[in-house]
Amino acid sequence: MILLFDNDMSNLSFCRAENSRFHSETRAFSTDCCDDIVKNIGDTEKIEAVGYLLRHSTEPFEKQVVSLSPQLLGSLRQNTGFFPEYSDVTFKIIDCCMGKMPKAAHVLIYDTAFFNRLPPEAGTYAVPYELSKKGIRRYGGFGLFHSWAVENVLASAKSPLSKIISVYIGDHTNVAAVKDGIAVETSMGFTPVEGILSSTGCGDIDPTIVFYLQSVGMTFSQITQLLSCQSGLTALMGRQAGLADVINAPACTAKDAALDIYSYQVKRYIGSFIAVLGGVDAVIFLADKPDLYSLVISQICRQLEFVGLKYNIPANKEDFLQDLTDNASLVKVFCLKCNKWEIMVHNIRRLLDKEK
Amino acid sequence: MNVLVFNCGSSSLNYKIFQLGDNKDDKVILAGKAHRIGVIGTESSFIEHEFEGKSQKITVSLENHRQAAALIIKYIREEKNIDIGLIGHRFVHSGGYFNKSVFIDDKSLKKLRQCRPFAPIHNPISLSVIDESKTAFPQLKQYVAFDSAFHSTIPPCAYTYPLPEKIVKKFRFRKYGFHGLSYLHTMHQTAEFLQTSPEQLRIVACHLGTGGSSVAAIQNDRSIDTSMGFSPLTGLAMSTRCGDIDPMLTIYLMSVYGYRADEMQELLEKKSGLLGISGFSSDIRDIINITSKGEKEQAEPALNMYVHRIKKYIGGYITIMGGLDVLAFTDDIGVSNWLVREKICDSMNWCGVGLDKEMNRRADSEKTYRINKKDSKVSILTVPPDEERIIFLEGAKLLQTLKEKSR
Repeated sequence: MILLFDNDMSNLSFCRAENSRFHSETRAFSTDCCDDIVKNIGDTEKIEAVGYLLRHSTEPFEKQVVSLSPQLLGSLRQNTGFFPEYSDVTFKIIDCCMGKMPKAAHVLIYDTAFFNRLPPEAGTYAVPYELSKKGIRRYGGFGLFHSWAVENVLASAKSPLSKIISVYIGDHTNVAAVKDGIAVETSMGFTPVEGILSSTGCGDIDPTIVFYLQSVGMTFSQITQLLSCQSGLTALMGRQAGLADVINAPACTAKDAALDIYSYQVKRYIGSFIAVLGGVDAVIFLADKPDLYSLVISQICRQLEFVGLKYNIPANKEDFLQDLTDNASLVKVFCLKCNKWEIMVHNIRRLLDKEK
Repeated sequence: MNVLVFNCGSSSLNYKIFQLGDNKDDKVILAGKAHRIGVIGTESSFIEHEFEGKSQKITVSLENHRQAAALIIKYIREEKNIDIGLIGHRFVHSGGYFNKSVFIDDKSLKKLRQCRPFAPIHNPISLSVIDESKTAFPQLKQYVAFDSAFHSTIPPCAYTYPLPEKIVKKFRFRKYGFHGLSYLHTMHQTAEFLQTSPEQLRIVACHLGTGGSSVAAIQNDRSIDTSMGFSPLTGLAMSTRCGDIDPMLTIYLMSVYGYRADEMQELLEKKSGLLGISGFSSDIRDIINITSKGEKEQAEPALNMYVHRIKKYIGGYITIMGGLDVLAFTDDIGVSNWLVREKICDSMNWCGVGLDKEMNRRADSEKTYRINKKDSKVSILTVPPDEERIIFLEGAKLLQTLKEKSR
């Protein structure tokens, strides 16, 4: 059995993975919930490995997946990054699990490692360079998903694909540009709020708005709360809403407006990244439940007809990787069904096999 | 009738007097510019006048735009004895209150004064020049042409900031866009040059200035998106403005590094962009020179970021329009810098952009010039800026509607 943790900065999710079966739960972000989780597992002897998805750290990881050693843990504590509260919870979980399951392998999965090698023009901001040197840069997000998707597509493709655009569709939709297997752009920035609007995040907005809100008396934490928890699709719908909620909502003007803005932003980012890559060989869509988003996906594909992309709805919807490419298409189109826990297990197994 | 047009920059004041003929043929009879208004430095401020091909430079202390306007009006009346029949002004930001040019009366002037905070530098300056013109010519009709008007056609999917409705309404938060008069001019020049109508063209226009820069998508003779937003701070990496940035980063820097809001705003507006990355210059021309010599480590990243952001916007807008007919470059850098254009057009075959490198180097900064290869699907043009002419044409249109109404 493998135990998995994902502290996504607002919630803590965990999962017990055994024989391709996944039992996951989500709890509110707090510093003392780990003891309780481990207690509920019962027999910890059965746990062969514990995986931790690290969403943010300034530690310059070369690899996406690493075994946790005391040295590494020490270094991690030195480079907690920009969100100490987040790091506190993560370290509490790691300490607790390492203490209670000393025989298990402990593996760290670094979500933004995939974007470590962004070229400076994409990976930094146009701010005084002293700030960039302090680590104020674009970290991106969902690297674990994009790297997994690109790897799978490259493995199954019959011809080499140099320029790939990978689109994660869901409550935190984001786009990555990948050249020869290496990420060269991402829509997410210093935090995952930058880029395309999310279920509660505002996405790209004019920073002057922040100053405006501050000048009328809002505090930093109120503005943070507003931009990251009360905006995005939720603000447009006037109620708590993820992408699936918007799609499934009965027809109304708010729904139309929200979907218009959403698909507009996704299309614009895809186009921007085609320009960055100087063309495109393949577009990949990945989602937990791609079937839910088939309308959005086909809408985006239609907008890309001008670069020679033609797509088909696949016959077999069961495969985790579907090739949507029409015979006449100049650009490949793929759709992948992704499961976060499965991808984590896949990465952990691969590391453990290598270390054997 | 002679139409006097004022165009305020942050430290300059351009003026042109157009003669409005019967069949709308226009001729500039006097033009000029006040330089270095309110600038403290070693060089003094001065006004330059151009008349019948000759130019005259008058060195004079200029404390503010109103004073510069007074001196220009005095020169027009007393030195040149030119009669003025109508006065037009460029107004940067309408705050969403106006979406087309209007005559100035008590009612519209009151609204214009309310627009002040939307462009805290430019709007008050324009208002002071309007006030001076009213004092000097109390009987004359005056009008304003808005920079933000051209972008009022941007659809909700592109102008909406997805924040709670109450906040959006209260503060009028939305993308407004800037450089509208320049884009309007570029669109008309482009269509004229290609001997077609603007309705037939999908244009991406790059307004690359020495200070602010932006990109606009123009389809069916109207703006459908642009890179600047609620304020001119977003979009490209400009001379000293940061352009696109994670909004959470500004909060982070203030709360962790203890920047006050005004310091933070100054950092992003005046110390970022090319100046911030390079650490030595806000001028892309300096940065290009130094890059070619390899003297400063940070010069190349600054140039790369500048080009990278422009390319991203071009690619995004082409995709939104489903293809491209014209890529147009305007304003000082856009028209005069071949290397910037060459770098932007590099690896753009995917959308049919094929730059003729030789033609690109030869582009004329005086007139509209074609710089694409013969087999390029996209026309690439350089279009010299002339905002004053667009302001004049807006005035001519206003007069026309006035005539039709009185009939």
